[in-house]
Parts: sequence; C-alpha cells; structure tokens
Amino acid sequence: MLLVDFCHGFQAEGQIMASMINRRELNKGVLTLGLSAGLGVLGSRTACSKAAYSGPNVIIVRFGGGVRRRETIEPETTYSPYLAHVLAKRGTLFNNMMISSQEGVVTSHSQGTLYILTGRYDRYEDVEGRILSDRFEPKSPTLFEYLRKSHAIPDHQALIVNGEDRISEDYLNFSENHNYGIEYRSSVMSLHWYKIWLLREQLKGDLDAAAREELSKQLAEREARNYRGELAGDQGPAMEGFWQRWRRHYGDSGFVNPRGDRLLTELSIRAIRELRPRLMMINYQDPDYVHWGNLSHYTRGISIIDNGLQQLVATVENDPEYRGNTVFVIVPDCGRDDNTMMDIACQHHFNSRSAHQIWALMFGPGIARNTVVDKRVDQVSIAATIGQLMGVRTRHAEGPPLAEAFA
Amino acid sequence: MRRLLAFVWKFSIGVVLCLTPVTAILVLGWTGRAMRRTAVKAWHRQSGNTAKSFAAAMAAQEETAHLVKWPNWIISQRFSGTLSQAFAPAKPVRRRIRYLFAALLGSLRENFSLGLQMALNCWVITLPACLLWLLGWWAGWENSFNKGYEQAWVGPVTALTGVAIFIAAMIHLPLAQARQAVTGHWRSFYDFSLSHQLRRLGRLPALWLVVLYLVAGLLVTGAKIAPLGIGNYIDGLPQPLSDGQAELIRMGWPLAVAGLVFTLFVALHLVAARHYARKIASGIANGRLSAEVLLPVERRFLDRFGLTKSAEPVQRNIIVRSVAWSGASLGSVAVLLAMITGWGAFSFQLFFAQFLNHSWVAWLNLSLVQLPWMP
Repeated sequence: MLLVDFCHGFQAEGQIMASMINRRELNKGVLTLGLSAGLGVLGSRTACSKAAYSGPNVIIVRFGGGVRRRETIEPETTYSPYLAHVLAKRGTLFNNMMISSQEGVVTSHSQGTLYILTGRYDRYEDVEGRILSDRFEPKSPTLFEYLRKSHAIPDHQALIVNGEDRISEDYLNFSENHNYGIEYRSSVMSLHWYKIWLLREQLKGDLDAAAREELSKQLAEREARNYRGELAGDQGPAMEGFWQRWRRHYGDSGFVNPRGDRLLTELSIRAIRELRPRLMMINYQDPDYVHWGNLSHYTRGISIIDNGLQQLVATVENDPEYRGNTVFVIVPDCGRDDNTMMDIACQHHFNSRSAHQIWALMFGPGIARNTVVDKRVDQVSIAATIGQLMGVRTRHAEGPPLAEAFA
Repeated sequence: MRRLLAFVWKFSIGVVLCLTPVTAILVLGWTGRAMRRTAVKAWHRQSGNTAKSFAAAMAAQEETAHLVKWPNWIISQRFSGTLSQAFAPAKPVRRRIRYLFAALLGSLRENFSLGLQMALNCWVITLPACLLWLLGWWAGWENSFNKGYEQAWVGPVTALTGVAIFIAAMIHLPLAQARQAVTGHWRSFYDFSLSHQLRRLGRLPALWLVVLYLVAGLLVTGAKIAPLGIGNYIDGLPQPLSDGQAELIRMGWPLAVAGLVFTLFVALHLVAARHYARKIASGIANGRLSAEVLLPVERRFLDRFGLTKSAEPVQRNIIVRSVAWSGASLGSVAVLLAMITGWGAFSFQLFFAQFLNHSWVAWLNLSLVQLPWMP
C-alpha cells in the first residue's frame, strides 16, 4: 500500500510536468533539456511496478437511453419491479440525483456516459464539428484509465459493453488527457467489434474475388467509423478469444444471438464468466426508442433492462469470486422530458427539468443497505464514489464521493 | 365596421371549431360553401360583365342570393325570408316550425351536411395512404426496436407505397373537391375523366397550388413541432415562467394553432376553387372542353355569365400542330413530374413532423387536406 502511495505521488508530479509538454512532441520523443527533470519523474513512473488490484469488482449499469424516475424507481409506477422493489432494499438509492444545468451540459446519452465515467461536466462537440453527430473524445480521464494506471489490470478486465445503435460510443474508452489516454483504455465489447473481428477472420479464408471485395468493403466501412486513430482499432488476444467462442456458439449470421439490450446482458454475463472484469460498464439504451412515438418501446425497454439486472445479479451471486465482492452502480445517462404539450412527452434534448432529474442505486459489499438518500446529489459524483470504492484517486473528477452510500 | 365585426365573428367561430375533429367537419362544410362562392365569383369576373357588382348580380336571382355574403356558421343565409315564413299565419304549424329551425340553424345543417360529404370523399382517396403510413411507421420502428433484420424492408416499403398512393390522390383531390363544393353533388368528386381533362388544360396553375400547399405545410409543420421547444422551455431548469404564465401558454397554444390551420385551410381551398372555375371557363372558351360534360348546376352558372360559348377552333397546319403538341406534351410531363415531387415533399413534411412530435392520430388526418384540425 505504501508503495502504491509512493508511486501515486510521483505520478502526480509527472502529470504536472507532462501538462507543460506539447503532446505531439512528447509522442515523437522530441525532448528538450529544460524538460529533462520532468521526464526523469515520468521515467520513474514506468519503473514502478503497478499494484495488483484487490478491491471489489464494480459493475456500472447505465440504465440508458434516458429514463425518468417515474417509470423506474417510483414503486407505484415502475416498469422495473426488480430494481424498485428488490434491489432498492439491498443498497442505497439516491432518488434526487441531478445532471447539472450549467451551460454546455447536455442531457443525452454519450454526454451522460462521459459525465459518469469522468466525473466532470466537460463540454463536448463532435470531433469534426459535424451537426447532430456525437463522436466525442473524453476530455478527462475515465474511471478505466484511473484504475488501469494505478493497478495491474489488463484492458479486457476493464470493459465497456455497448449496443449496436451508437457505434461512436465504442470509441469513448480513453481520454485525450496526455497523462492517461490509450495506454490505459478499456476494452469495448459490442457487435460492431465482433463484426470487425469476424470480417477480418473471414478475409483470411479462401474466398472468390467478389466475396472478398464485398467483405473488404464492409470491413473498410466499419473501420472508417473509428475516429480515434489507428491504435484504437486493436483488440487484444483475450478479446479475440472471446469472439472466437462467441462465433462457435452463435455463428456468423447475427440472427442467432440475442438482440437489442438483451444482447448486452448476454455479452456481459459471458464477459463475467470468461474475462473476469474488475470494472465493467454496461450501456443499455433501448428505452430511447420512445423518440419515434411508440411509448411501449420505452416501457418495454425498461423492463428488458430490469430483466437484465436480474440475470446479472444472479450471475454474480452464483460465481464464488464475484459473490460478496462486487458492487453494482446503476445510474441513467439522462432523464427524459415530461412535456404536457406533446402526445409522447419523452424526448430529452431540450434542457427540461425532467431530463435533468435522474437517480442512482448502489448495492454490494460496503454499501449501506435499505437506505434512501433524498438530498440533491450530482451525476458527476458517481466517478469519485467508484474511485473511493476501488481505492483509486480520481484526481480530475469534480463531484465529491457520495458519502451516504458507504456503510 | 359591420363587415369587420362580421369577419371577426366568422373567423373566431372557425378557429374555435378547428379545435376538435367533429366540429372541424363544420369548418370543412363552411369552406366548401365559401369555395362555391369563390368559383361563382371567378366566373362573374371572367364574364367581363362588370356593370353589376358580384353582390348585385347574385342578389338579382333567388337561386344565387345566398352567395352575396360569405357563408354563415349557424343561421340561414336567407335568415329574414325564412323567418318570415315561420311567422306566416296561413301556413300549418308543423311547416312553420320547420321554417323556424331552418332560419335558426340552416347554415349549421348545410355546413355539417356538405362537410361530411366532402370529408367522406376525401377519406376514400386519402385514408388508404394514411393507414399505410401509420402501419409503415409502426412496423418500421417495431422492427427496429426488436432488431428484426430479416424483415427490415416491411416498414419502409409500406410507408413508401402510402406515399405513392397519396401523390396519386393529391393530383386529383383539390379540383375534385372544388367541383363537389360548387355542384353540391358528391358523385361529381369521382369524375376522374373531367378531372383529367381539367389537368390537361394547363398544369402550371396546378403546380402553383402544390407550391402553396408546400409553403402552408411548412408553417403547419412548424406549429406541429413547436411544442417540443415550448413545452420543454416551460418545464425548463431553472423554471423560466410562473405556473400561471405556463398554464396560459399551454391553454393558448391549441387556439393559436387552430387559427393558423383555419386560415391556411380556407385560403388553399379558395385558391383551388378559383383555379377550378378558371379552367372550366377557359376550357369551354377555347373549345377544349365541352359544356356537355358538366353538371346542370355548373352549366346554369356558366350560361348566366355567358361562358358557354366556344371560340371557333383555329385551323393550323400539321407542322405547327405537331410542334405545339410535342411542346405541350413535354411541358405536361415536366409539370407532372414536378407535381409528383411536390406532393412527395408535402408527405415528407408529415414524416418530419412526426419524427419530432409523434401522434398516432396525426397519420390519419393531414390538417390542410382532410379535416382542419391538428391532433
């Protein structure tokens, strides 16, 4: 422990020094004499061997696609009975969590995910300034980066599980902070990544020219979705092994595996069994289909996530290494409107009060049971709270940890 | 002053009636009666006989006296005359009661009767498209939610089929509706042959009408999606308005939308009526349309204004005729394509509005085409 603290101290100094260095120059290895002292500190960081992680596993469930309190945590009107009636009693429910209304804060999915992961309300715009596009680069380190920088955890054990509708979210797995970044990224598990792996595998086979051209085109289209640079397109051998087993089970067609948010549950359960993640974020999203006018997609989406929670909790409880050593943190990316002037009141892009009103539920070892906290807390406090749970200092995160959660 | 008061009264009633689908039938009927007046007025103007004003010309005959003023909403257009019949002592009591009702509610009955007929005819040719849109939207998003890749084509194909049917319907509808309003005969709506002939008599005015529908559609689309911003502004963080102010906006907004829809709906239908009247008159005048194909009521109006006389066809040599025919055909095709594009764009406006502010009922009622009511 002392060794870890000692290393943290050097890292802090290293960050200060590195922030003075132009990132491109640093990447190219163009170093100047004036910076040699700072680089000495940076060098010492790599000399420190990282501590093995011995804290609790954390599973963050983004109750995503934007949900209101009414249909989730309020017992009389919930479509998520397992969450509202069972899980709420096992942990601490923050029923008055808010997303800040400060300028530049957007109540939407990728932004909410980044507020949760970085603990900061940074302002985000598409990397090329495209309108209605949400290809973001996290400006501050994510929880995965904090964890992997301080502990010896391989990237496949720091895992994001995504759906297939928001491919840009597959590239939110590391920040542009030059003290963290791609070296400490999380792995991403999604059908997009499976298809990339599958296409590469298929192209290794014996194909006629037309089939090869078609598959190459599909692969190029998928690879072109990567807006974070070449390295972001790699997945390690552990992930490739995972996809091999997935392929053996579900085949190539994509018609056999579960679909929608049920797919995320299946991927997560398999990941727990095969990859043993220490920190995992599951980004559910299907309630967002209510945008297009069918209210039952919203309520069904919530129920499907609720069912997914039940399966995830059962998986954890049936696993000796996870049972009693895993904390669940369930939090929406954003709320939804309560617009009385519309038939379907549930959009979320217009800064309405209801879109800012969210909640968070935490349960597991070290978390207070059967507790409801109704004081106003902020979504950005999630990162600091998880950091404290895992013994990781989230030095760039804004929100104070949610102290009421700790038993 | 009196005319201004009458305008305010008639406009206000029209706006209020646009708030519900049932009362919107009355607005459709009232608009139909206004279309009849507009068409007859167009014939009067086209006759060149301006010695008598339109009002004087109409008042001169009992049959057309009701066209002197804009249609009433409730009381009969011949209120005094009908009411005096109700108080004529020589008549049996039952008949006097009937006159009394006719005087007090004559226009209401006419508005409802014509409105229902016009709505039914309009629904016959447009509702199939609307139902396909509704089903296409439902099927498409249902499939998208369930990730049914295998049948992903069903939703889009259903909706696009609806668009094709809607375009065909709208090429026929405005003139057919105008004719039904003028003649008062529901069957005249289905005279596809005459409708086709009228379209051939000059497509540019029809294209102009499509453009007007598109512009009006933009305004209606704006009104449809505005609650997305307004409602969320009211419910904003921090709350920008008091509860009372917010309630005032919530209550007042439907009335503002009804005002917009009423104005645009009536204006578009009156343009269609004038367009119909001019085509009929000019078609007969240049010998390209026979008065024989018209209904007696149309012929009576045209006779009265001396518009049934055809000019002698000009004899042109075969080359001139060929060139003229080729040019006209090419022009017709170009305008037809433009109309198809225009009506396609008009239906796209609905999809766009539904994308941002969805309502299932809105698929079944286009407020500028069917009933002047916005769900």
